[in-house]
Amino acid sequence: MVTVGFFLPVSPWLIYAAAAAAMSIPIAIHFFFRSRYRNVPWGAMKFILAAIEQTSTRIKFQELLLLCLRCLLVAILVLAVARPRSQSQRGSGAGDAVDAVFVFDTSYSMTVKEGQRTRFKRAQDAAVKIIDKLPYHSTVQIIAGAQKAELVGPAAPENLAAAKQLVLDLKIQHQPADLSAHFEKARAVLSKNQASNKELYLFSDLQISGFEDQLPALRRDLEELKKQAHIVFVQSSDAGASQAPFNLTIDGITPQSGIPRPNRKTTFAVVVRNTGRDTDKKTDAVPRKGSIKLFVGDQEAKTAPAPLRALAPGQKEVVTLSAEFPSTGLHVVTALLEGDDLEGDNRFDFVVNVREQVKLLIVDGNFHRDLPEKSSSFNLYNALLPVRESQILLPEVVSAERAAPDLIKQYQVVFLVNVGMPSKEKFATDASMISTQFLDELAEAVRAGKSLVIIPGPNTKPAAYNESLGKLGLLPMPLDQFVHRDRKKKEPSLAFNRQSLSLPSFRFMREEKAYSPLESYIDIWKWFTVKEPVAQDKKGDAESVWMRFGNNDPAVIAKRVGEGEVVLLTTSAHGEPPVGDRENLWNNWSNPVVSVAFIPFWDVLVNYLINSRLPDVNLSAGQTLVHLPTSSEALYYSLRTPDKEMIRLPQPSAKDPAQKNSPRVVRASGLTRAGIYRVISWKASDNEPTKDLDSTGTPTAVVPDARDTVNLTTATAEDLEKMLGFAPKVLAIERALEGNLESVTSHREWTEWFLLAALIVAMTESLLAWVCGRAW
Amino acid sequence: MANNYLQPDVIARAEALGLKARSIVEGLRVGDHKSPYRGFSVEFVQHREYVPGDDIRHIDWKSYGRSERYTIKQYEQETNFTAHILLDASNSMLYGTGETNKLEFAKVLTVALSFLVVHQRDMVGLNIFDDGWRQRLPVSGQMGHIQTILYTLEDLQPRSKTSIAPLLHDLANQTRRRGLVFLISDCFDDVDKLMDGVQHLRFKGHEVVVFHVMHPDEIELPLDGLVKFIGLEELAFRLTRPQLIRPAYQRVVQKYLKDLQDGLERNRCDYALLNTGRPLRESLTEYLARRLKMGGW
Repeated sequence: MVTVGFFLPVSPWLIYAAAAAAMSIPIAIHFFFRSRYRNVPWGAMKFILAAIEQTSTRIKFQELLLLCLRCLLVAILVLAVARPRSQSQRGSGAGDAVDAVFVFDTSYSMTVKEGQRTRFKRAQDAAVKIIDKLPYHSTVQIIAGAQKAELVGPAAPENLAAAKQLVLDLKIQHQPADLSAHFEKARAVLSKNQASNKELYLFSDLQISGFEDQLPALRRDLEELKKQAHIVFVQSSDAGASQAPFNLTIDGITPQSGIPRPNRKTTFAVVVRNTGRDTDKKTDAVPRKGSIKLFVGDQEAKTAPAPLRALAPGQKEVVTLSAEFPSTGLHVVTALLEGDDLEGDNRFDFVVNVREQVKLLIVDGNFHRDLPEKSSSFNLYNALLPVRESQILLPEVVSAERAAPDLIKQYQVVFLVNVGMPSKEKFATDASMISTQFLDELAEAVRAGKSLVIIPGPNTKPAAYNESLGKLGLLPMPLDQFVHRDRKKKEPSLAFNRQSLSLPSFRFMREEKAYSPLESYIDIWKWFTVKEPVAQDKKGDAESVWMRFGNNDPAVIAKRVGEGEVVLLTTSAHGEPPVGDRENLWNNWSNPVVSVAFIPFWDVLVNYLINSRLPDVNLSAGQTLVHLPTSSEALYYSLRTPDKEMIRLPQPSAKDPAQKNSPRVVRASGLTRAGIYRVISWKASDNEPTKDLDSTGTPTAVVPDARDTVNLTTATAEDLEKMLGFAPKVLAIERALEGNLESVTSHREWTEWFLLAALIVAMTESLLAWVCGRAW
Repeated sequence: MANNYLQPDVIARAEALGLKARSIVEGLRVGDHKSPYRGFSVEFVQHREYVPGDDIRHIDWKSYGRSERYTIKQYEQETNFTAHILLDASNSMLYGTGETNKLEFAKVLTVALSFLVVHQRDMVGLNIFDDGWRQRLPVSGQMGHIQTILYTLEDLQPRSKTSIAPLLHDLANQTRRRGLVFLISDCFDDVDKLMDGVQHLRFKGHEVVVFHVMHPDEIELPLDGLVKFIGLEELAFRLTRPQLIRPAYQRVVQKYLKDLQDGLERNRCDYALLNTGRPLRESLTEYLARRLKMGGW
């Protein structure tokens, strides 16, 4: 069915009215000129009368014909200005040339298998078919991407062969689709196209979540696009909630036994979740199961693949798998899922740092070698001591006076427990004091990447701490006052505010009921207050409070110093003196009987401090890779992508341009494909690395952005109409694959033809007027 | 100005050729024209036998001496003619501006003819008409008559419509002597009726010369644009584009002229189409020269 309309964005009836009004112009001119005659008194009137009698019929006919032509001319011109168009159901290869823009959703939800092919493959095939069916002289431009829309070409839009090849070369990205970005890009591309017949094809599975997340922007974009082009949604999925695929996704891989060590079995917890539906798509009844395998590098782990039980939608299962690493350093652990419909998130890579034992130095200002239980670090030391041989923490205690600067090199984390700061007074030293040299060396080491934990005690003097540590930048916040709630006077003690635990690693303590004694059974009688900056004075996230007391005073404060981190506790870690004096307790949280949280707290904290300083080698798709060069020599950097492409990276730049002495890092953005990326450094004298280099360089694991599979339900035409406020043309993938485009409405502009008609009418009118000797 | 009508160059050119009656006309005076009345004059024609009653002064005594018979000598008498100028002063003669105005043109022609006739000792009478006689000046051969004609013409204004035929009949009935009738008009009358009148005049022995005065616009219709033609004699008007009807108009005019010319030719009348766009002296000279050549006099 053919309907006519106009490109001019006004009502067609208004245009028709304008044409009718314009037709009155020649009529008005006709009557105007008829009123502009001259009077001629004439004697030979009988001749005039006779001549008129002979010619009047012909003249009247000519007059009428000319008037009609003139009316027709202006009417055609008015309609031509309104850019007339016809809309028809376009058959294959029929109609006017089309400027088509193909928008491809390359999010990994497109990897759902529909029959033998994935949605993405079906969309690619459909796109190629549609290109084949475009009318002659059509152009195609392809926009593709997930979060970021890119115009991928072709450079010559009329080169349809190149367009087809580009479509076939498109790759999946492991991010959710931002359709608004695609439409915005399409608008820009379409606005540059001059042809009147513009079509926008969206090849997508039309996930409801993709629309719901950005509905206002999408509505706005589509409203604008509707004015520019005819929009066709080519849905590569079977629409509707009942058609959601069965999908298992890997939420994460966590080493279960602390820090992996070489040649030892390391256990990993792999969290698997059902983000799809629970029944088999084909039988619609039987819950499906999958299995999971673990790989280290390219080698499958020695443990057998773990079968998964049938999971209800949203249900999680933790699967334990183990692997061994042959050496220290960064290793890639890969979990592979099998048995679901969506391939895109079936692989999960995780880079682990396999290390030998990590040594911890505890500097105790109240160290009793003979009676260690009297030492201020006694409880802490015992909390850090490995229970199993496989654990890698190796704490060592030295007294403050024996803490030599050279010691620091051997240790990853330094604990200052109840130490006194060096005094300015000459010879005024005691055993609790540490040396200035030690502090200077410590500050240097922290800035280079080591961690420091400061735990106060009776030897802690706020002024001295502020003076010594504060000057070196090693104090997260200046200490203010020492607070003592007298137990004898039955002054109220404090407890921890469990909900204030802000570090993600402490989440389990915040959420699990087992740690509720932190709030109920803990008593803090002595602590230091700090001069906490008000919110607006805080600069970035350099300092943060990880936990607070019940009265909101900070209990654990952290601060990044250079590449390292300093953590300050405002109360003691040794609250229970072993001998008598229960009245002078600082607290009871370090008493393992009372506080179940003491040991896990230190375990988590130390693991965090050890691992947080590792390069960020586990990223989600779309995040920027930041590589810390290990050599100061002038080097070049290349990135090997999971697709074995080599990309030259820019030269290192300051990690934080606002900070002085910020380390220089190499950045790589646009990592939209999940998999293992490797940063390879090479010297100018070397050959540029080729893509064949497989396992060299620093690995970084990029995992799929899980947001894309949270809701795999695809929209039906009704859903779309409800959400968008209009009913877009949805072309079923089967029809597109058949090249059956009859449901695609095609516009054909007739302006040129109208102008040609106007020219012909004008010429006819001129000729007739000349022949008849008639002009206005 | 009355003297404007007496244009020397016109008179001079016409005078050189003279105006002679092509046929025999009766005249009161002996002039340049053959007279049907034979008398005793210079030009000998024949002898005839004396019969009682003849004037004995005309007896040819020399012939009696030779033959003893009384014979009388006869001579052809040259007599002057009477010209009747019929001037159309109907409204249709109003068309044209300046020298091309038909009435003005006709007035000059009238004066020229009058002067010519009087100057060769013939007599002329002026009859101004529209749909009836408007003004009539009796025939006279006096030079002062020209002055009268001039004064008459000076005050002459067109009016009413043309109706020639009844007036021709009237003239034919009124004049006893045969003479020369000059009809100066645009002849916008019915051709058949006009021919009846002319025929009547011819029957009475008058020689008829029709000076058909037409403006070039009336022949060619060269006007352009949208024109409202307002009838000078009729109460009709027509709004039209002359260029569209021009061919048809010219066909109609040519047919009319042909009908008129053929009718006059049948009645052995002279016809001269005078285009007011052309100087009168040229048109008149051409006519007189043609008349001289054809008439053989």
